[in-house]
Amino acid sequence: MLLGAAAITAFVLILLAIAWRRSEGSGPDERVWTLGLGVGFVMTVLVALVGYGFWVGERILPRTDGALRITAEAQQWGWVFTQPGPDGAVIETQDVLYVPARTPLDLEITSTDVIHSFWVPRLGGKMDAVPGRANVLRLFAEAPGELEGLCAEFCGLGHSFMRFRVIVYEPGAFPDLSTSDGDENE
Amino acid sequence: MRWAAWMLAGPLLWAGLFSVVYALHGVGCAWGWPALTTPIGQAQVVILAAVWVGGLALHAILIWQMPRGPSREDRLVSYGAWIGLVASLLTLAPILLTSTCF
Repeated sequence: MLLGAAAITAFVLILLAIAWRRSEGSGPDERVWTLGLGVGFVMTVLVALVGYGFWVGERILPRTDGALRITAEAQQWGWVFTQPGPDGAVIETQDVLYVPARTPLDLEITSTDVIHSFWVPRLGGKMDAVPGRANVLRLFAEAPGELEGLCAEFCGLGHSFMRFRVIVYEPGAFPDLSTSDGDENE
Repeated sequence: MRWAAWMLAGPLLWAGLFSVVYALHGVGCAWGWPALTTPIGQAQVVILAAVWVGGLALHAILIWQMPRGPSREDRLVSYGAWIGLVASLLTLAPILLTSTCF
């Protein structure tokens, strides 16, 4: 997306430079500018962006396919994740979410106080954490690694520090909890 | 000023159609239309698509009936009618393309 935006900006700057250098009255008809670039080009870019938005939106919708389910509970100013641990037993982690790679999972997101928003930029869209309601977000991580997540809805004085880590692991190789920085309670 | 009314008719029709489809979408989700099936598909999609197609037909009638001529006002009337049609076509196409009621 950044490359596309840069290409469009460069294209517009080149057009501006050409317009600056050409003599009065020469060049293509004004219809080319108004209909071709003013309407046609803009519509094409907007339709492409909206189409991409729909694709991303569809990708993060939960499905009824029996995917792994994890709960994320937001509170001022941290996240508690309840998920299956290394031996299958349910564990609760503070500000650390463990995600198996290449495995779709549904995250049930809620809040105990004010509205927050769950967001891992590398995994897709945001989802609000609303008190008294569980919103479900489909997540899919391609490769093992560590990703950053944050609260994307202003939720009070500690909002900017309300971050969490997402540890993506190879399926069947749950990370050693004793070496992790997060607080885990079985 | 009749030409101004003609010019605004297309965009106003789009605004009305969009509002009706949006409202019906909410009503359908609340009343469980996605769970109902009809011979041609999911009730939610069929109802919304029927309203959409009906609106597109009204746009077509508007374009068919609009005054034509070489004047600047006639050109603006034509722009308004076509803008309304394209807007309804594009902004409501997700009825057929996206999931509903999540």
